[in-house]
Amino acid sequence: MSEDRTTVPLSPEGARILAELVGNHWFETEVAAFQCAFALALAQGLSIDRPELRGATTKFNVGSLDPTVRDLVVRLDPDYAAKPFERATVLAEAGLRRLSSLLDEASDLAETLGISQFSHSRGPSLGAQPDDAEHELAEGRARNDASSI
Amino acid sequence: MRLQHLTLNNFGPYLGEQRLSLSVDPSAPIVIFYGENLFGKTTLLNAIRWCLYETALDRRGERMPLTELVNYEAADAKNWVTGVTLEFSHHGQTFVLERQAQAEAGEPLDDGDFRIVTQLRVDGQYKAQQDIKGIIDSVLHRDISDFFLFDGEMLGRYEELLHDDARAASVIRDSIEQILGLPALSMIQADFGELEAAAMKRHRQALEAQRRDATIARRAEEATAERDSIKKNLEELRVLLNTELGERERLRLQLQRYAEVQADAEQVAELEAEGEALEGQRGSVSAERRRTLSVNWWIPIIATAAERVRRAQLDLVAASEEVAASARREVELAQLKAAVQGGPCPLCGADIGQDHVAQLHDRLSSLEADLRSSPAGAQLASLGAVVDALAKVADSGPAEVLLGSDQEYRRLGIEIRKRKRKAERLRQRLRDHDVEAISSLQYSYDAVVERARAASDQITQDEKRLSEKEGELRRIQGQLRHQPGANPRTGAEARTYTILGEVFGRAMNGFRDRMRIQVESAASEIFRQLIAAPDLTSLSINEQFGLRIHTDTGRELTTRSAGAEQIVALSLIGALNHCAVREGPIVMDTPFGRLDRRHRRRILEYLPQLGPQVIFLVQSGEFERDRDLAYLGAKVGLEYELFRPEDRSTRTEVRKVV
Amino acid sequence: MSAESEISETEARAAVLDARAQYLDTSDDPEVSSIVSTDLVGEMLDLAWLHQFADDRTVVQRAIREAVVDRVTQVIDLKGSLE
Repeated sequence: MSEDRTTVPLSPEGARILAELVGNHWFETEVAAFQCAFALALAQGLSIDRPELRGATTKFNVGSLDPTVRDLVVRLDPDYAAKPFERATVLAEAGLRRLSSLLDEASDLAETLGISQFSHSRGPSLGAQPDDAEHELAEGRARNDASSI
Repeated sequence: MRLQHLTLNNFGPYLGEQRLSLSVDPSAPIVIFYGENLFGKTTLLNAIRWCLYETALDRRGERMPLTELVNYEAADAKNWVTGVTLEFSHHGQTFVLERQAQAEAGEPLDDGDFRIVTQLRVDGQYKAQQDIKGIIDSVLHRDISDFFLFDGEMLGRYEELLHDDARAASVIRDSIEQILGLPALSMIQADFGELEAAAMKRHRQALEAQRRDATIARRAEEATAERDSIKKNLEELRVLLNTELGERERLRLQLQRYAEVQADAEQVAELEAEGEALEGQRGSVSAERRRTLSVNWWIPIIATAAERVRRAQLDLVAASEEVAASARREVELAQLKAAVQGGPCPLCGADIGQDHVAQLHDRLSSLEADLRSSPAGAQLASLGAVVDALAKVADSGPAEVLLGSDQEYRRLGIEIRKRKRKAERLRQRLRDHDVEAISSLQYSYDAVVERARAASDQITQDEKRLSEKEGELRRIQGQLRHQPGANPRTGAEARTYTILGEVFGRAMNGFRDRMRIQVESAASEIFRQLIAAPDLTSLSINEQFGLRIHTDTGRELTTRSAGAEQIVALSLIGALNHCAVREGPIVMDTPFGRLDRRHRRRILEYLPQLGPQVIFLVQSGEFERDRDLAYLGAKVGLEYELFRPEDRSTRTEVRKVV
Repeated sequence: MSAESEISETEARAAVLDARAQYLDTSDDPEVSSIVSTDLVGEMLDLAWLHQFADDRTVVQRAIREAVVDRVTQVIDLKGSLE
């Protein structure tokens, strides 16, 4: 019987996404980004083709990861309970591809993370917001009219 | 002049303020005040006199001191204020004259301790202090007021004066001539004399000054040239100033437009600052969001975990129930086992038959099978472990916080972008202007303003010089004009003044004679109305204005009764009033004191004709209302009574008689 | 002029005109009548009345004299220009 991983590898693409997520101030650490990607893939049942994992190099030691990662695999993905970190690595890679959409300014955080059903507990209620760009364009047009008088 | 109201304030025996109406219609011109001796009749006359001329006279005709005018009761109460207000009309205007005397500090000893305040309003407008006396004099001059405001005593004195005292007679003559307007002629005659002398002097000086003419003429030419030069310079300066002002206006408008540009630049800076602040805020929110997501990295799994926990909790409940059921089966099993081995019925204690035992064996097998398939306690523990493990990641709190931060982040982003766009538009506008050009424009503007100011200052200076030069020119030309040698007019001037002086000198005598005739005629007319003796028909007036009574045969009457004297005096006064250059109210204090009965009626009947307002101050001895009022007919407009409410000499009040 | 001063002024005017007439009768100067006309005499009388009840005699006197001088100058100038 093979044993579970003790290190966590990441494909070049995965590592790149990870670095950008931290560089773009989405996550404080790469570990946190990795873990979130894992949780995202687990929640949304994401998968990834093996060829995409080619060229992976070690990124973390499993000791760096939160023990909750293991618990989540064991409880929610019990088929892989024997090798939770192996499973977590694959899931995380899949999750990173999805998470990379955060790097696009136009992306919606709630939609990307799949948490739209939760209400926000901070900030003013904006109600139904028109498309921001359209709103600003309309404002600008009005101002230009005024200043040309 | 017509008196309207008289207001007394602590004046004489009148304590406090008392206001009396004196206004009557000329068809009923008489106002009568009834009062016993010393009640204050004379005070009323004095009040009018004092208000008009700041002079109150005692019985001897001498000035009364102010300390005598203040009401005694008021003085006792240390209230040393006394005043009179006279309201009258004259030539359609309304006059309000207020005079008040007040002792400044403590009990006054003489007039010097009083301060007198006078105010005059004409048709509501206050007049300057220095003009008040002149205005009053033009209405009713002090010098002729004795012919309007007089008392019976004066009448007596007048009669005496008429006879013998030559000096006094000339005083009276002067007063009469004054009332008739004679001094006007003598004064202008004096003017002609002075002017004639001055003209003659000039004439003499002409000869001496002839040689000065040429010098003056040359000076006039030079001054004229200088003046013309200044004028030309001024014109040029004015043109220059206009040009500079036009340029200044043009530049000012340009600068104004750039002021708008300046405003834009300031707004850009403002927007940039706001943007920076918002960026700062957004940075904080971003960090907050990052932290939430990093610490709660499992946020994507919250929903799944929560569902798993829910199911586990349900399973846990079911499993717990199953475990309890198993325990009950165990008990039953044990009991059945005992029964099968030949024991009594566990329920009733009776022996169990062989048939029953077979059933019990069946039951026993079934129970053992159930127990074997029941979940073990380990399963419960397993379910509990799931719940425990997933509880933390099933809490939706962090997701809500994250969404809140994210929304705020986006809102700030919108605000920042708005400002950036606006600032960019303004920068675009600013780029179209040349900043350097603006500052050079300001410089040009400042220079034009300075030049305009300099031109304006120069103009002011030159205008002053021009004015001075023109003044000099006028003086020189005046000198030229006044050189008597330059024109032969001086002789003509002197001669003219001489002739005018001569004419007016002669005119004075003619005028005096004429007026005397007028007065004589008027006095005779009045005399005839008043005197009860039909043989006495006329009065004549001599040069001293002394009157003589003549009989119908022309004989002069040498002895006269006191009553007759009074009538003569009254006739003269009536005639003078009739001929005077001023008209005024007649105020007579005890005029009937020495009238005998014969004449009383005639006099009373005549008196309303004296003028449009005739005020009598009478005492009961000289006037009996019941008897004498009838003679006045319907000519009485107002009647008043003076009385003492507390029988004290220090307080008199007035009430209307109805 | 106001009504109450009519008598005096009427008599004064009559007296002044009479005096002028008398003067002319006795004078052998042919120019007198044109220089000292009835109009001039009447105007001088008007000025004279200003003296009547003037309180500040100095001020009024100065004003009257100035008026007299102006008028006389006018008359003489006019006569001069007619010659």
